[in-house]
Amino acid sequence: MSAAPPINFGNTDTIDNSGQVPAASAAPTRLPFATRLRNLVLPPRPDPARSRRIAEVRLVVSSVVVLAVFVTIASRVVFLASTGDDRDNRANAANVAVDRGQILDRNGRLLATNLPITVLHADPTEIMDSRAAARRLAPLLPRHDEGDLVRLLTKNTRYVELDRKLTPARHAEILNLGIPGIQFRKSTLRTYPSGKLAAHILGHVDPDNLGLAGVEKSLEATLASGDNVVLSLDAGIQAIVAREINQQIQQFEAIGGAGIMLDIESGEVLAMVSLPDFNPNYFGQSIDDARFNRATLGLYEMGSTFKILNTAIALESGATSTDRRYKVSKPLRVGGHSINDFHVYNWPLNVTEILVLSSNIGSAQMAAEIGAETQRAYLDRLGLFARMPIEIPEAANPLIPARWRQTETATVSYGHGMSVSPLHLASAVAAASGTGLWVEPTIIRRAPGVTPMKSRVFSESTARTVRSMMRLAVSHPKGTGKNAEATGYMVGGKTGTSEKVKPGGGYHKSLNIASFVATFPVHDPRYVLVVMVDEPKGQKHSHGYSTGGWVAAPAVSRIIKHTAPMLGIHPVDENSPEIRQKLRLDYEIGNEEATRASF
Amino acid sequence: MRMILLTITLTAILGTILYQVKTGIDARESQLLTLEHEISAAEREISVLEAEWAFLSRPERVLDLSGRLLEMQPISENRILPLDAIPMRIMPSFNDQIADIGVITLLPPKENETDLRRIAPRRIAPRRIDRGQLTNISANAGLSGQNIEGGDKR
Repeated sequence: MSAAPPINFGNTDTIDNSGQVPAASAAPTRLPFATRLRNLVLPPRPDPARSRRIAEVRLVVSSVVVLAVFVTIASRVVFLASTGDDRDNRANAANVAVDRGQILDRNGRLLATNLPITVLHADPTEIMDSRAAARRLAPLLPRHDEGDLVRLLTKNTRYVELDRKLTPARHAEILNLGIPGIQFRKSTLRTYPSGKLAAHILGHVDPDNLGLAGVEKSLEATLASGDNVVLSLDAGIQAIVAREINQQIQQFEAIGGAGIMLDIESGEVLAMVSLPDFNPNYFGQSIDDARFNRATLGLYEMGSTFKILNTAIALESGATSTDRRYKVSKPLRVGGHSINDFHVYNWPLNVTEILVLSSNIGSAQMAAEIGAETQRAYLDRLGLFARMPIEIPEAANPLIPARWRQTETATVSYGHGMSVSPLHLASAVAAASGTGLWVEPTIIRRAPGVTPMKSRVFSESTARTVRSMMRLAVSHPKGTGKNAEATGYMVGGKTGTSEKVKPGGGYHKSLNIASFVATFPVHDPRYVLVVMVDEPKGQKHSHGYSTGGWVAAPAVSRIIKHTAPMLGIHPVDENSPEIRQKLRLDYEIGNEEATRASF
Repeated sequence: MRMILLTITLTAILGTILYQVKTGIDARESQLLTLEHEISAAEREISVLEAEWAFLSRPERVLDLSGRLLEMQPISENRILPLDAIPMRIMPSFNDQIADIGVITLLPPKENETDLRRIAPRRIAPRRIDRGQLTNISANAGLSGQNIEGGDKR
């Protein structure tokens, strides 16, 4: 600032380069005329030296002020530029709620997703004329009439919900009414595009998208954080299983049914059906019976299908061998109860015949040889004494007898006296007729390379024997499961018919559970299929029978015929040596006296 | 003094550059935000369409529609063959044997060989296919191949 030019204040004095005022000019005696004239109007000029000092001080002060201002502005600019105050933009973007994760089937088909919807709500304190508002809104809101709306709009609150699922057209119309206090909010609606398909597994959510049942509940944490869930289900197979069981329910005037297809190797559930079912999109309108999952929550005495397990246990524990024969011509008396057969066989049956012809008396004798302790130990290892470790909350604990006496040992051998869910049965039969390993079932698709929890219950040889016998129950002319045959797909299986347990104890004489459990293809076991029909009534075309062989087996046959090509199972010629080599189909069955068995 | 001036000038220049960069970032960020909004809107639309597709292609409906509108049924087991049951294409090494038994091969003849294709009488003209047959074939193309001879009843 010292670079300011020298200032001449109007006097004649000269200032040298150093800025020093000569001393001689300090006291002029006579002022020039012009100066005197000026002094008449303006105050006399101060001493040039002094005025120069004043000017210098002023310059320095003003330059300091200006500098300070500019430095402040500059530093503020730098500060603003470096830190910035636009963080709120990003924060807003992050604050948008995460959409609930989708649920997909094993092939990526959507089973549950979210649809954007508009929620119409109102703040009654902002509404000036609630009566007029109600009158104008009423024709646009089919869910409320005018009186209803007046009541809602005069409520002493700041939030009333008028409509969820507002269509875009309605949205525009209501917007055009321009009623103050009426507000819109974007939201999402949980939707199940496949309708009834797998409804019991998917479950449903409450209006705030909180899972209340099924996978929606058990995997709430995963779904709520926005991650997708891939189920082990195959939607196509699920639909076919549901359709075929439904057809049997219609045909036999049954009250319900269940079906499960289980992958023996991985424990994955490919289909799990419970009928009647419901549409989770309209969960509120469904009845309790439809919401009930018969496949995992329903407990039933499974009947003769348990003979598969009994045979496997008897062979594995060494209690019997395939060539042993049992006398079954007379009813067996155990602990004050009498055990009968549906048909009387007046020749001693071998183990294969007991399974193929479904003899209760024979099974009970085998169980007696196994012994209660061994039987219990095996059933426990097959997971039949505990809740199934499946990923839905609706899974029941089996009903097992409190005391395990001679009677229980005998009745459990043919599936009476203890109640399990169809899933329990599928899982246990998968172990007994597949690889001998019990695999933890799951409805979540297993990632490739992940080995499920397995435990060995039976040897491979026992499992092979058992499934060979199951094949005979289907393929042999005297077998009880002939109706389950699906040519080429090597179906092995066992029928089951049991009387329903009365709630107070005892059995309904006329109410049945008809079931069928199949393993296919038996030469290379891959899947177990359980079909159960609840309370079928005998029909003319079934000659009055409502047994597993008549009710459940035909559904099994149709399901396997339809789904085997989808599962990549190639039909084979049963009589080819390669196939026969893998099985033991040389068991001796029946004689001329044997009547046709249909139990 | 000169240092002060230099510092001030430098600060001013740096400040200007920083400001420019900052403004650029702001513009880009708002552009990014717009894009993100567009993406989420598009994703929403996609999810709506996916839900609609899942609804329209739900197995229950497909089963019903195919049952009513298509003359298709589950493939019966006698129509499925393993791959090795299908005879493979003629291998070059078989050429001579095949030529011996009088089968005309599609492979070019060897140097000292007569082209069998040339001397073969062209008595068998390609079969004439009329329009009706063509529509039948195209109507059945891509289907399960079970009703080639049926078709076109509607």
